[in-house]
Amino acid sequence: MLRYLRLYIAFVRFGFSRAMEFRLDFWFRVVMDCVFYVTQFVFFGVIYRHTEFMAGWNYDQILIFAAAVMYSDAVNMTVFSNNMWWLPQLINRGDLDYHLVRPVSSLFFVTLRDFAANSFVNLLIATGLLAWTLARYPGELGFGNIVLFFVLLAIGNLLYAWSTAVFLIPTFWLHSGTALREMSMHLQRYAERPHGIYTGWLRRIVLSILPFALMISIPTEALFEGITWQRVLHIAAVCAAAFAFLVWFWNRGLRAYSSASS
Amino acid sequence: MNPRLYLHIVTMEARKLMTYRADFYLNAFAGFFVQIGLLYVLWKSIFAESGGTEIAGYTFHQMVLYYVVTILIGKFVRGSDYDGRMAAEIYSGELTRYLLQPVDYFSIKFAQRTGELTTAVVQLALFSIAVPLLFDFDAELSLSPVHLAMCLVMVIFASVFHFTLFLPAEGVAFWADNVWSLNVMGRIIVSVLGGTMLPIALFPEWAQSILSYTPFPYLFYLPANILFGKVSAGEWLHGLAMLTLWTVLVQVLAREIWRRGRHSYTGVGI
Repeated sequence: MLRYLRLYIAFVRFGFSRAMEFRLDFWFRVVMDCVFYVTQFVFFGVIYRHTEFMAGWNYDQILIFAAAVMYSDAVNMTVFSNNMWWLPQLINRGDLDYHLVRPVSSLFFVTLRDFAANSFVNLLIATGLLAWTLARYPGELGFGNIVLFFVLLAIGNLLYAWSTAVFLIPTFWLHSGTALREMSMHLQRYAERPHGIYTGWLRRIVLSILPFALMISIPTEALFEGITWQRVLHIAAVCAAAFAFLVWFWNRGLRAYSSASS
Repeated sequence: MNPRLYLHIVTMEARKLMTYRADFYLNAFAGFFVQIGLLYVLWKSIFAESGGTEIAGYTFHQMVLYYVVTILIGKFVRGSDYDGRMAAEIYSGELTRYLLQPVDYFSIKFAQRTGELTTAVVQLALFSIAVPLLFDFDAELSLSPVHLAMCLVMVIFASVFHFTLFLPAEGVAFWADNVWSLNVMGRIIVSVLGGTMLPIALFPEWAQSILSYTPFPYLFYLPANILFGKVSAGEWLHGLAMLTLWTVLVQVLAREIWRRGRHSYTGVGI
């Protein structure tokens, strides 16, 4: 475990030195994410001109949710996204070979080796925005609920990365990851809306099978209303099943991998 | 450019895209229904919470149809995931190959993009059969030959502008190693100001007024509203004029960036 931690610290160090070499791109990415943050506020701001509530949440609550979306996006852009985007190319070019021969988990290496230092700046901005929305909230949130909120958001971030990986692994068989990546991006939009809008079978899907509601919306609900033991058990069960499936699926993919001719 | 060469490039590009059939079908159908599914439940919830039957002049049914239409129009205006290819060619030094040919580089790229649009046309044809079975188009849309023709012309102008819009950003690759972020930023801005995220009618009056002088509302919002019968001939002509003006302006800017960029281009690549 300590070896993996040391390895990850090295990834972070390399990430920063690489980012410093491409300074213009560094700032482009910072600005790009800021534009994304503005659009999130614009989206909810415009909608709340025409309604007082969405999925039972008022404007102050939805602002916290929107900031949580930005925070989660920033975490994913910093830690996981670069790695996920490269995965189809690694498979198709046969570059995955280099990671398979290393004496560490290939899944760990492939999903975490590229730390996006430029997005780390955005993570700081997004954290500031989240802190601002929490501070301006007129009601009482409670320290315990805020801690719970961040713990659940961290779990949500892992599920977000899980959802991207699960949609890219079929590249082992399909040989092109373009549409799969787009599909995962479309589906991840379900995480960027409050889960109260989902009803019936769709609600069951986003809570359990493709757990987009657990990524941001359920943590935000826990911030306002706390959490029940049933919900804790539910999240634990979904996470266990999701990550067991990921490991199984990854190993199946590796069996189908035929190096450079993939 | 020689029309035969243009057609040849178009055909080659279309064939290339059709090689990955799974990509094509996933993008065409699954992607569409995933997007519409989310928008459907979102607006159902908003209409239920607002208590009204109309928001900014759209009923719930019209709102869903608006998104159906803008997604379909978007396939034609945006093309496939083209952004970044020119920048990659500058970065890798592959641009040299084109510079040695007696053909304008932008024309080759435009021909390639037209080839990509053929898949959008195929998808549109498939959807024109499937979507009316799911959505009651006749009740809400004005699909008269005049409105269809107005929409088609506007979409062609919009598609040309959309292609032109990203040329300056791609040209920045002469000085920067990676312009991916610039392209994504452009896509986000186009999506918000073009009306694919939200109909422009939902924006405050002052924002709508400012936007009318930009090319963005004419990319998706206005073509979609033509089919709702909400656009007069005068507004349509104004939209075409704005798109033409902005296309010329951005084209001039792009040509200047590329002219300067070629002076600093070494062709070494990575």
